[in-house]
Formats: sequence, structure tokens, C-alpha cells
Amino acid sequence: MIKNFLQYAKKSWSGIGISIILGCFTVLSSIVLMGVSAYLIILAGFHPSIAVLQISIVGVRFFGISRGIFRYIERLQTHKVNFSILGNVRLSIFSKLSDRYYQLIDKYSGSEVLSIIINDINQLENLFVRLLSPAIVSLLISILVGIFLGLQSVELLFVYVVGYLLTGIIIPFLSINIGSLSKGNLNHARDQFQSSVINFNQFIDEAIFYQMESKLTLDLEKNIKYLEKEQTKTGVWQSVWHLLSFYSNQGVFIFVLIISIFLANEGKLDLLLVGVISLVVLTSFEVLSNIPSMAYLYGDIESSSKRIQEIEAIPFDTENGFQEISNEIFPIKFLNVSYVYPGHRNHKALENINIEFKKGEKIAVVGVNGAGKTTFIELILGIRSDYEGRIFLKDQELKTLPKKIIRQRFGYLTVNPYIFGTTIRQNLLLAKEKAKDEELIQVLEKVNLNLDLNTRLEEFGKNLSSGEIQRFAIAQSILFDADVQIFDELYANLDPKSAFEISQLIQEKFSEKTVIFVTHRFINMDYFDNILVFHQGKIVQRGKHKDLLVQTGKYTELFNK
Amino acid sequence: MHEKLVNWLIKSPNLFILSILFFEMGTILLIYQIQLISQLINNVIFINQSLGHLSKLILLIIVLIIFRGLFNFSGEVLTKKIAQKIKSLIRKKLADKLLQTNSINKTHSGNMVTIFFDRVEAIEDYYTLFLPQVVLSILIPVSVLFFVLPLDLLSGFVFIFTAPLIPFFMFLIGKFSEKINKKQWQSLSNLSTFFLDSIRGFKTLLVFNQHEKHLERIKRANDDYLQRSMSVLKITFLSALVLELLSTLSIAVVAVEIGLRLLYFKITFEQAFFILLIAPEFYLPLRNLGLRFHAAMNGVEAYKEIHSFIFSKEFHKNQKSVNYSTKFVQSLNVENLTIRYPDQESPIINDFSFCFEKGKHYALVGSNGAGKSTFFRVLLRFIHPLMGKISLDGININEITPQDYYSQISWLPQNPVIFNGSIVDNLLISNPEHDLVNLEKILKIVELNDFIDTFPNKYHSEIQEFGKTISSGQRQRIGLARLLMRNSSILLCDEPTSFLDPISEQLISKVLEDYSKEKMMLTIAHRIHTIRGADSLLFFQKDKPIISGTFDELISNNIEFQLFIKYYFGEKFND
Repeated sequence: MIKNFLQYAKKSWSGIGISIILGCFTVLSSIVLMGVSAYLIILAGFHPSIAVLQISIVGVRFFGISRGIFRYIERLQTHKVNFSILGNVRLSIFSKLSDRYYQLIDKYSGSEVLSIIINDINQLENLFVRLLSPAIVSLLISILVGIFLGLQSVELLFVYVVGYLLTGIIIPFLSINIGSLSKGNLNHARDQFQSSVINFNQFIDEAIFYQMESKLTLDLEKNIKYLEKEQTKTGVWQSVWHLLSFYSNQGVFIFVLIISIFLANEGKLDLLLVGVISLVVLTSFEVLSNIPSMAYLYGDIESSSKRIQEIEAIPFDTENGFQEISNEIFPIKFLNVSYVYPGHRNHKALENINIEFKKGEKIAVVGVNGAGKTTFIELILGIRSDYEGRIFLKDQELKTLPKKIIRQRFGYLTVNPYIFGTTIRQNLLLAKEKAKDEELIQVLEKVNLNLDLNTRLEEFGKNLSSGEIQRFAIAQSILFDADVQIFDELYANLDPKSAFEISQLIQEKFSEKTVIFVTHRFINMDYFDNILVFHQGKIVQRGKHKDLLVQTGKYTELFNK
Repeated sequence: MHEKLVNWLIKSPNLFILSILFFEMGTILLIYQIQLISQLINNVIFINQSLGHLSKLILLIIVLIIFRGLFNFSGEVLTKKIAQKIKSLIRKKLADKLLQTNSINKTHSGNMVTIFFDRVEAIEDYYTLFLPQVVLSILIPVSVLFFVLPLDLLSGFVFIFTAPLIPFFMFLIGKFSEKINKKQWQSLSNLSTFFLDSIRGFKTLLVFNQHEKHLERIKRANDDYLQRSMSVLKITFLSALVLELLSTLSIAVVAVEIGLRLLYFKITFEQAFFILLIAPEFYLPLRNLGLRFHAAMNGVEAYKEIHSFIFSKEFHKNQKSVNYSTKFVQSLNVENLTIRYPDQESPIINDFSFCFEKGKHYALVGSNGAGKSTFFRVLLRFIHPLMGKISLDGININEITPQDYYSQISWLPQNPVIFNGSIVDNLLISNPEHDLVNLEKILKIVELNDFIDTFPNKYHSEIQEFGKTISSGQRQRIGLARLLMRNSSILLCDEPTSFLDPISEQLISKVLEDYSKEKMMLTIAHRIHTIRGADSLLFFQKDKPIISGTFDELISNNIEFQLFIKYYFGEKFND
């Protein structure tokens, strides 16, 4: 965790230093305020002349004001540092995502990656402001107070150090370790509860129909209770640690008091100082009282940063040199290509694929789920390069080409195109950076969308229907202008009418391009020059719609559904 | 929203009052402890008592500390207990509501988990940190004053005068910064969702080769965010500045004031030292309140979502319950049925009348969102019509007890849901009277027996053991088995849209064919086979009346139906 932090904090050292110094000044202000006040009052108790008191009165006034001001500047500074650290975290995660995206998606699901990244970065938000900065400040303050006590007598220093070890190190250490034991139960209760909510939500209809609502509710209530029990347990434990560190603090205070009285009795300590010391020690507990909650936070932050490290540790494909690609990529040839997913030794996702695409050809890829369509596309896109056999773009092996170059030549439009929550213009410019407004307006007209370039799209393109989103994404593909355009299950979320319109649109706008169209809905199939029927990782039939229909085979089976 | 959160507490206020009482006891002990400490210091410095003489005093202080700790501990534990209780209560309320309204909008389970877990968790701090602090920030200063005023009027007045200034200034600054906050809020939230957006849309960025350039954009957004946030925080933190300034300044004023008066014999040392020690404690609760305000606001935000869920609109219901003798239903009559979702303006089904007869098969066709499933859900009484009547052999279905009504119906959902429990449990819900012999027969019919035999406890195996290995085909077969276990007169069947393996599909249509003989069957049809095989079709279209007729009638007379079939099933009907 600390290692992580150091890496992100690289450019903010001076900021961190200033924020910690300010934090120390803030706490010192109140310690000195109370110390000087005690000195003032004890001195006044001896009824000296007012002149003697003057200096301490000035001191009291100064520190009375300084604390508030230090605190204000410190908070601003700490948050500023925190923002910039978080910014670094985001940048670093994002850049690491670029290299490992598909490896990540293989390991976790897309939504898991999302929640790991978002939640864990939010956790790290606490790292500096609530954990590291207060911890360092508390250590520094304790050292200063220790020095002050040590100057008076070694015994006082000894008691203070023991007390600090107890409150600042031993109790938090125990609470983290014992806490992690009960945390297992708590996580279990949480998982049980969440899965019973999912169960509840999914089963409601059936429960009503089969008259078992009460059983369903009972199951959820059982888990609500279980969660309540475990959370209460954890809460009580937290309070126990809180209580222990309170006792340890007060114990230090009592011991310091007893020893200083003893020393004063012996004449080894100025009587005046007995009062001052006791107030200084009492006030310095301000920095120690947060330690129990910091210990609790530590556990959460640590597990977050572990998960982030896990993501960072995933190996990634290094780019294959800087080989230039010749202008011509056709024909694209698959020669005896097979693919086995890492970890699935006996199951070939693709087996002996032989196929050739020419320029301008329109190809459909059909088959049931799991037939190998997606893997096939991922090979073309260069996402998976650990295939057997050979794939050639004209005369160059696909494996040896930089991914960036491959992505320039192959456009890819997925079933759920993502639209960013910014303007229409910005979204279109992603596909073609230097396009002028006229070109963008033209392309929107081409796909029959009547949209203003300055319109802001709500999150996830919510103010567009799914048909409009598809058309918008097609507009992006037109702008992107790749040699080969791949469409992946475009019809999946569309009603038949919109799907039909989309098929017409593609037929019109991509007439010059090589089109690879993955689908399981059979709309406008006459358009394709070659239909590849995938079944269990193999191409079992290929040809034109009309020819395939007269054969009996997988194609007619799929078509007749 | 605050009142609503407090309302949950008011239902059982005893624990809360008790916890406050504990905190108050802790405060009184604290004041007493401070008195003893000032006495101790006085005796050491001015009376020169030795440690031996003071041992009683020190012992008493130790006892006070022990009890103080215990009181505060009890108070803390109690508030946590209260928060847990309220959280559970809210969760139960949410479950009740979900049970009643799930049919309105099938909510994604992930969203439900967010509301049930995360949002409810977020309100905990409101009850454990904020609310007790609100009470204490009044109670503790008052208790302190109670001791200080008789002792030293002047210091008491300093306290009384400065304390209200704190909330007053905080309120003023809060108002001011709220205005600025609101102005900045829009742009701030735009920026903070920017990163989320970038991660979600990562694939798109990658496809367009934009991910490296996007790094620059994130950097810019970060810098922008930093600058804007800092300008807001400068104002927001002002309230903290005032708080700190007022409290430390007041302590300084009191310290100087009592020091000077001590000098001129107006006050004893013991009193003066007591007042100095107690001054920080006087301001501490107010300071804590300021610090915890933020946590409270998060809770309030989270509760808004919970509240709007609990109080979202429902279908109105009118249920009288009459027993319905179990006989074979001859007809299901729908008259002037109008259904409108509570969150929508226009009805999804408008003034629909039709009579379904025994022994006939009906296919419901139409594109998504045209009302087919809604109609099923009304027949299943999950949702209730705005107007109109549905009757079984002349008896309004609203007047039939759920038990009698549902026993007349068999239902095959599109995706039968399997709940946590054994496979037997999952089947017996359909008809608890079946014995294992029957069950085995049925499992054989749906060809699940081989699959189940692979598990050590056979059909007593917990479904969790099957885990993700249950395919949609097997799911359908479990649904089919549930169907076969009851012998009802009406069959509602929702054909799966996704591809099933061909073997499952053949099996399902064969079993259904046998089972549905002589029965009234309504099918939401996605297969051309089913549509052609039905005795009568109901064609659903958005914002248009439902049209009925045989396939041949519709295909020759209705252009929309022709188009629909063409879009859906390709060029087959062009010829």
C-alpha cells in the first residue's frame, strides 16, 4: 500500500511536506495554548506583578488565533495534495488499462472491472487525508511532546513512550489483526445478504404465482438479521478498541501526573511545571484519539490497494515493434487457424479455420452462442495473438503487426456502442479527430439523425433510443473510414423494424468497404457475398443465402427458428 | 429529509434516550474529574502536599476515568445498535415494497443491491455520529455552564456569549457557500463523472485508437477539477475556520481573564484552573458537530433514493376474496381492459375485449413493448388494470382468492427462476402434494434425470451446487417440470427468445403439445411454428388496438401484420 502511495505521490512531495508541517502547527497551537494558559494561571496563583504575566498573555492570545488559521490553510493544502494524488492514481490506472484491457475482461467481467476501479479509487481518496497525513502528524507531535517531557526528566519520557507505543502501535495493530478475523464473517454476511436480495428480486413473480411470498420474505429477513448481527459485532469491537485506547491515554496522563508530583516532591521538578505538563499531555491526545478509526480505515484501504495492484500485476502483451504496414492489406487469409483459450486445454474455441476475404466483400458470420463467432472476430482484430496457424494481411503475418495499426485498418462496432456524456461533436470527433463541422453534419444526415452538434448527451446516451444509438455509432464508423468494418450483433437490442432499417443503412453506406457482419438474426441476408456458418468452432457451411437455403444443414436449421 | 430520518428513530426512542443518558453521565463524570484534577494541582503547587496525601484523590480520579470510559462505551454501542435496528427496519420495508411493485418495472438486480445494501449503509453515520452529536452539542455546553456559572459568573458569560456565535456564523457561511456550491455543482459533477465515463467507454476509445489521447483529456479534466474544487473548498472550509477561531480564541480570552482576576485575588486558583480545563470541553461538541456534518449529508443524500423507492407509486388494488369452486374453466373473458403504468401517461393496453375459450390455442404476437407481457402480468395478477374486468366463467378474478385463482393456471415463464434450495424444493413449489415417485416420472419426461443423477445427492442436491452450470435449456426444463406437476385449465406460456439447444427445444414443444391438449393455451410466440399453429392470433402494436384473427386472415388483410412477419422472419413470406 505504502509502495503504491509513494509511486502516486512522486510529484507532490513539497505539497505533502507543507501539508504535514501545517498539520503539526495546528495541533501544536492548541497544545501550546493550553500549556501557556496553564503556566499563566499557575503563575498568577503566586500573585506576582502584572509585568511577569505579560509575555504569557501575549502567547495565549497568539496561539488562540493561530490554531484556526493554521487549520484552515492545512485543510486546503491537504485537499489540494489529495486531489493531485488522486489525479495521478486515475491517470496511472487508465494508462495501465490500455495495455491490459482484454486480459482484464478475460479475468473479470466488464462490470467487475468497473466496480473494482471506481470503488477502489474512491477508497484511496481517504488514504492521504484521513490516514497517512494524520498518522504522520500524530507521530511528529508525539515526538515533540516526548522531547519536551524528556527535557524535564527521563522517567516522564519513558512513561510517555510506553503510552504512545500502546495507543499508537499495539492497540491499532491488535485491532487490525483481530478485526480482520471478524471481517471474514462480516464479508460472508454481506455476500449472503446481497445474493439473497438478488434472489428475492428475481424470484418475486414466481413466488407470487406459487403462493410462497412469505417463504421468500423469510429468507431475506433471515439474512437481514444475520447481517445486522455481524455488523453489530464489528461495531462493538470497534467501540472496545476505542475504549482501550481511551484508557491507555488516560493511563499515560495519570502516570505522568503521579511521576511529576513525585519529582516535584523530591525537588527535581519545578512546581509550576506539574500543571503545565499535565495540560500539555492531555491536549496532545487530540492526535491520538483518531487512531482507532484510522486502524479501521487501514483495512479497507489496504484491500482496495491490493486489488488495484492485482490489476497492475496482470501481464500484458508488449507491442510488436514498429513494423510499418504496406498500404495493401487484401486479401486477408486465415490458414489452418485454431484457437484454445488459456486454461481450457481440451476445448478448441476455433478449429482449422481457412478463409480468404477480398476487398469490398460482404461477409456474414452466423451461428449459435458459443460457436466461435466472437473469438473469430477477436483474432481478426488482433486482440488475441496466441493462435495456431497463420493469418495474413496480404503477405504480412497479423501477429507481427502493432495493434495500433491493426485498429486503424479494422473498424469495430459492438452490440452496445458506448456514447460519452459530452457533446455530439466530441463523440463524433473520437472517430475522426480533425473532421470539420460540415463533415460531421453531413454524416449525421447520412444516418438520418437530426441532432445538433452542441447537444450534450446525458450519461450513457440516455436521451437517444437504442436504434438512434446504433445509427449514431454507424455515423462514427463512417467517419472512422476503416478498410474493413466489423459489425457485431447490431440487431440484438432492436425491434424488427429498426433492425431492418439499420441493415438498409449499412448496405447503402459501406458499399465500397469490406464488411464483416456477425448476427444471429437473419435480416436482409441476400446482401452478403459469403455467409460463414460457425458451429462448435468450425465453419460448417459457407456460401450465398440462396445457395445455403437449398442445402439441408446448420444454416437452414438456424434460419427456420 | 432530516425529519424523515428522525422519524425512524421516533418509533422507538427509548434506546436513543438511554444512549444520550449514558453520554450525559460521562460528561458529568468528566466535569467532576476536572474538578478533582484542579484540586490536585492546587494541593501540589500551593499546599505542597506529598504524593502519599494525594493518593486518595488520585485513586478517585482513576475510578472516574474507568466509569467515564464505560459510560461512553455503552452510549456508543447503543447508538450503533439503534442504527443497525433502523437499517434492518428500512431493509424490510424495502423488501415489502419490492414485493408489491416489482411488476411495474423489472429492476436490475444490481440496482436493487445498491439500494438494499450501499444506500442503507450510507445512513448509518447519520444515527451513530450525527444525531447523538446534535443532542450533545446542546446538552454538554449546558451541563458545563451549570457548573461554571455558580463558580464564576464572568467566565460563564464568556461561554454563553461565544457559544451561539459558532452555529450562527456557520449558518451564515453555510448559506453563502451553498449558493456557490450549487453554481459549481453542475460542472463539478460533470467532471467527476468524466472518469467513470472514460472507464465505461474504454472499449470505444480503444477501437478508435483514442486511448492515448484520452489520457491527456483526463489530465486536463483533473487539473480543471482541482482548480474548481479548491475555489469551492476555500469557501466551504471558512466555516471550519470560524469554528476553530471562535473556540480557541474564547479559550484564550477566558485564560487571560481568569489569570488576571486570579492575580488580583478575585478568584481562587482551584476555580481558575478548573475553568481553564473545562473551556476546551465546552467547545468540543460544537466542533465535532461541524466535523460530522459532512457524514450526515451523505446519509441524507442516500436516504433520498431510499425514500423515493419506498414511496413510489403503486397500482391500485381492489381485492375482495370469494372462494371459487375448482372446476374446469370454460371461458376467460376480458372486457374493456385498460392498463396504464403508474409512471406513464398513456395506457399500454386500451379498451381491449376478448373471450378465450376452453381447448383453443392463442398466440400473442407483436414487437417488444407492445403490451404482450403486460397482458400476461395482468392475467397473473401481478399488476392491476386501470379499468375493465377479467372473469373466469363470469366470476371477476379479483374476487377469487389467490389460492383458488392460481390453481387454475399453469405458467411457463420465459426464464424460469431457480431459487436457493434443493432441486426438489424448486419443483415442489408448483404442487407440494406430489411424491417422489411422481417427481421422478416427471423428471424423466423432461429428460432431466440423467443430469440430476450426476450429483451426489441427486434431486436433494442444493441448487447452489449446480451453480452456473445450469444452462438455459435446463432452466426451461425445470420450468416445464413445474408445469407438468399441476393440472390446471389455463396454460400461459412465454416462449424464450434466445436460442436454446435444438434438443431442448424439440423436447419442450413436444411436451407442451401433449400437455396442452383440451386446455386453453395462451402463448407469447416468437416462433413462426407456434404462430401458424395457433387457432387464433392476437396482434399487439404500440399505441394501437389489439387485433385478433387467424393467421390467414391477418396475413391477407393486415399490412402491418405482413410487415411484422417480414421483419421478424425474413423473406420467407415474400414468395
